[in-house]
Amino acid sequence: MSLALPPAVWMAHFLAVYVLVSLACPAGLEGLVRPGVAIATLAALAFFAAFGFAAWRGAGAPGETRAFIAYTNALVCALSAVGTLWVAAPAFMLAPCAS
Amino acid sequence: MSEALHRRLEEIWCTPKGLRALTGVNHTTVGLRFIVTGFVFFLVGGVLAMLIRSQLAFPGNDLLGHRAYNAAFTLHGTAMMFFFAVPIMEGFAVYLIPKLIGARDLVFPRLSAFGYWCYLFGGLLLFSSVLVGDPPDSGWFMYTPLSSKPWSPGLGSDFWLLGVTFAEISAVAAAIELTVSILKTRAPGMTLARMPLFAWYILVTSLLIVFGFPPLILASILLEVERAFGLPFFAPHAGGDPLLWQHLFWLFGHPEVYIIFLPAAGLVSTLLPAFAQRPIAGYAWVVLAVIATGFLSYALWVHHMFATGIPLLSLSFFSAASMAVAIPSGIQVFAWIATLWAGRPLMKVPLLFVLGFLFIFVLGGLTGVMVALVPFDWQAHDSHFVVAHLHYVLFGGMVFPLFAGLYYWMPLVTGRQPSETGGRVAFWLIFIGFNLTFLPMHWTGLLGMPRRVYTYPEGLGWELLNLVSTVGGFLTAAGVAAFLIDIALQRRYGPRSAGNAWNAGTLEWSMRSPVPSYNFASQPAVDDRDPLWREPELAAKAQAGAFYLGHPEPQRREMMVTSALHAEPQQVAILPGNTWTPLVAALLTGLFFLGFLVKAYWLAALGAALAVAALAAWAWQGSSRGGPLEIDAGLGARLPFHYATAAPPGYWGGLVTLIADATLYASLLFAYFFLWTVSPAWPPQGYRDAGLALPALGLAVLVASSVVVRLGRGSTPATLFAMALAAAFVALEGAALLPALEARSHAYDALVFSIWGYAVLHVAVAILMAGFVIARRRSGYHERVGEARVAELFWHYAVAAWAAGFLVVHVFPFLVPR
Repeated sequence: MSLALPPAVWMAHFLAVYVLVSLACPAGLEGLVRPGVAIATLAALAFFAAFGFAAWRGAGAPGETRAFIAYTNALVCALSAVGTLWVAAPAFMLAPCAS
Repeated sequence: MSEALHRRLEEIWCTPKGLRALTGVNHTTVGLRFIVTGFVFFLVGGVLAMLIRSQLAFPGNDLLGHRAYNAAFTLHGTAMMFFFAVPIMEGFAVYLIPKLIGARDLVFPRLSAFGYWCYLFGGLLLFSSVLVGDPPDSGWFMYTPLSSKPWSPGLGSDFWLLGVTFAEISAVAAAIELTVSILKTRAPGMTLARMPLFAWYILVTSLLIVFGFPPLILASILLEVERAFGLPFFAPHAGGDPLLWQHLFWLFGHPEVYIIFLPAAGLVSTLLPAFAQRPIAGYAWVVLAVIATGFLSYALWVHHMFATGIPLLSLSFFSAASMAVAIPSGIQVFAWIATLWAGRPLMKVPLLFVLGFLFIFVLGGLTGVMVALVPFDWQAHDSHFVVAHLHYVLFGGMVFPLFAGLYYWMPLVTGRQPSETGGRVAFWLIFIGFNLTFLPMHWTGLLGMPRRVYTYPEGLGWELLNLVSTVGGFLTAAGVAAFLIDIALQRRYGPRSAGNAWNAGTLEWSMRSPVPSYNFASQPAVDDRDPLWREPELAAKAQAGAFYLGHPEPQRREMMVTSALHAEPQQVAILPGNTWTPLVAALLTGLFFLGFLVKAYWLAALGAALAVAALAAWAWQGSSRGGPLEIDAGLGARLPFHYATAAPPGYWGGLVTLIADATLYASLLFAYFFLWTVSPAWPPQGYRDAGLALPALGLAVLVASSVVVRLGRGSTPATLFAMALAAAFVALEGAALLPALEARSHAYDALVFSIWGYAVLHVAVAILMAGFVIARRRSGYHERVGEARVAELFWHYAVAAWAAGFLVVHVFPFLVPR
């Protein structure tokens, strides 16, 4: 189900940054956190842009069901991108390993 | 349609009267049983709430002692979450989904009946703790170490863990069959884009259950094993960690909130268009919101753990996700408002409850954004502010839509129209009572009153607020009583309703009134989201047998199976009729839980063995050997019967079950890695003692069995050879691992033992299933390709699960430095 793919990428990004902080901080690798979060975020955003754009173009395609799924997919991509940015933002506002 | 056809269909599909009613498997019967039982638990939870409010009405009150108070709030929360909110919404789904999607029943009717009995017996087991005077009292979340053996030595925690786990079988069972039903049994032509919104909500909810309940089931099993046999999963002195319980519990617990809320929101999205007399605004946006909520809900669990000392940045991720979930909720609220705005709202009782829902739920959502902020949460944590917030979300978000739904769909059940006056009295009592109870509680909390304290002294400024809350609570109870009286009056004196009581557009209103057991005399073909508005004569045509499976001489329970995306006709499923098997299987499963509770493990083992035998008998039941392989389904469609195809609904059900199973396993592996990361006592001495040689040989033998199964193409000698290989694996791995483990002494050993146990259990089940397929074939059931595929799939799954287990248990310890 292609509709589940963008939020799954959002979730993979979420888990990646969460696990990164959980592992890097106890290991004393604080410097890895921000670059790691930045790379994961850019990768996720690139996916949403590519997948969302393809879906948006497909929304005009013939066939009611396909058009519906393409349109919804484009919306899901946009929301997932917002969610990803939102989750990544604190990494650049807080000291990475503060407790 | 002719009365003769109606009588014939009714004979085939109806649930018998008298004692044999217990054999009923029809979704209408089972759905109503869920709803009625759920409502009874709602009343029980409500009585407990009144006890809590009475105790808190005055400072220094001594109506309940602290023990009784602890038990009261524990049972209140448990009853409301596990035995009311989830099951009653399941009941709505079981009752409504087939009717909404144009099907005659759910696709696994015996599974829904089995689920109902598990739910009922689980509830009875839990509440019997009150009769023996040892109720659970560690809160509905059962935090360790409070719920562990040293601090809860009685049976209370065991009652909770076993009763709730028993009942959870029903949630997972319902999730599996609702997923497959929605994907595979929609009326021909009802593509995904035309599916009623309730089906979208239930599809996402079902997947939430499939991924959300296994962590709790696992946590409950681990805690029960710790309590019963002393394997220390949560005990810090032996390498365990109480936070492991919290992670697993809330990994379930937050999706749980959406498992409750999404179906309720689905009821709103489905009934609102009837009162606006126009289609829902922004259908695709609502679908987007539901899918997004489903995913976001998995990244919220730590917001229940903001005060546990997790690093700040980690908390911020969860804080951000918690605020982000307001976006899809907001999209739905705007879609509902837009629908009403663009239509001509008819102010009837169900709409009144929807408006009450909107008002209360939005307030609860706003305080939700407040407690999503970490610093604010640290202030409000464990205070009555949180109690106010969660009741605004859950009572507003679920109970109000529930009443709207009960009023709206009641004519399907009773064939009568509800009264406006009675409903309005109930609404205003509940609405005013609810706000009177919980609005002041925000202030009580901000003034510092903690949750879960059984009393408080004078002079802290909490007296008046608590008294007002108590008065409000009893007003709410009066409202619920008014509702019950109103429904009783409607059943007896209400005016007969027309088939389509609200002039709605969805298929459940195209049936006779009250609805017959077979739903549709012929299964309609659909070409719109609101088929009854598009084609008003559809109801008459369906009742006259003009669509699919409307042939005049039905012999068995037949139902269309369609493709997942476009709903094109694919197969005709023959559904099982009424049978004792689900009840018997549930009773024997109950024997297992009972044996565990009274620590008679021979009884538990006996119960488990008998339950497996009952399930085998269940699998054996069903359609005849030989007979035709295809049928004329009407409208020119000649279709195979489901058992003659390679992908019958059972195959899909098997896939979804394996996803739930894999989630449980992933949670178990998560526990291992979590403790390895956080516990200073990990790894223990001698953790590399098992070595690699013998386990590697065991794995090789097991993988070989998979290859044999694949290449053997189901031939009996190949299957027997594969079984021998699997048995050899169990012996080899046991010989390598068990001497190196002391499962009672350290959480590491306990977890490795559990991962091994999971693998052995699955290999054993795979062998049983393969044996079943052989026995089946020897009895002449040649055509059942689907069954053999499910058994083969399970075999490969069991092998893959151990391959992962091998990497974790045997390889990982050698990869990390000492």
